[in-house]
Amino acid sequence: MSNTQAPATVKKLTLVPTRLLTLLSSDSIEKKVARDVAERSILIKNMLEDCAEFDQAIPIPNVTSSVLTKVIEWCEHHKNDPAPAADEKVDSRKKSTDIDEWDQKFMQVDQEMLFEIILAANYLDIKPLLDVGCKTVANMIKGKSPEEIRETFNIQNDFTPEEEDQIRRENQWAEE
Amino acid sequence: MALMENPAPRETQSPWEREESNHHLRQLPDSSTILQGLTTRLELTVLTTMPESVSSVLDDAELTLGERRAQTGRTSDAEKLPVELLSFIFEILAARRGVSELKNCASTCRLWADVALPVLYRYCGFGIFEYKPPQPCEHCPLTLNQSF
Repeated sequence: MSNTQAPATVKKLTLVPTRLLTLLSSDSIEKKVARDVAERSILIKNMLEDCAEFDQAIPIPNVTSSVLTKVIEWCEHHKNDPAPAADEKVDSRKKSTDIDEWDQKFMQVDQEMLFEIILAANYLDIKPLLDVGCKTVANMIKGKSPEEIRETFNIQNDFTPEEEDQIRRENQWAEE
Repeated sequence: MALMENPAPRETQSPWEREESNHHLRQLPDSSTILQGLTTRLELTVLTTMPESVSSVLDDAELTLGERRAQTGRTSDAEKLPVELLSFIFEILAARRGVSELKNCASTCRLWADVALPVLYRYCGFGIFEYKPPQPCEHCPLTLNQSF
């Protein structure tokens, strides 16, 4: 009796289809993604909770297809990660400096893509991805002089010599 | 009858009398009130010491750096970030005790100074300002500058 039931159960589990959602990027490219992967985004998760069925593509108007592809890649890799606790303090997020090795490689992109990923993570409310992106930028700043920071991020120095001196004088109190 | 005219002194007090005699004790501030007062005073000191340039970021915090610099025509990928995210990045640096990094960020350009300086004051300013003890409370036998 039990021998005949066991295969039926297995068969039933394997036949359950993974629910796919369609995301529509700002440049009108559709991306198919599993629901559990898409739900790494709190924005999409809340949308799905509010609406019982989503037959049409979900528009993501602030994210281009190339950036959306990267974000989906990150979500697929981290789909089994525990969800961050709702009461997790922002301070604890900032203080943890370590970036996963896979995430470090994932973030080895040009600066334009890096900042686009950060913006997409902010828009889609994917806090762990936002943390990784911001920590990557913080690591790029660390140990650099003002001139080196300007070179790294292509920022023009718009201080007058007097203003630069004023900044230096006013903040002499801040020492390590 | 004699007892009624000259009642013997009672050894115990009624609850309401005891409460009244302990009235001065109820005036003592508890530790949370003292801490709250200290924090408020520190914050006030920080705010009054902060240079004018620091507060300007609060006026247009919702704008991105790129929007604020649009009139100059210069573009940088970092300027796509809204101020709140740039502030978050600086706070990561501050949480790692990166005072020199924050000062370098503040010396990069005006816009980064607007964002980095409040973070510098918020994270690294406490402890360097002179603490002024409050006026002693008239109901309280102890003041904050006396040891308990």
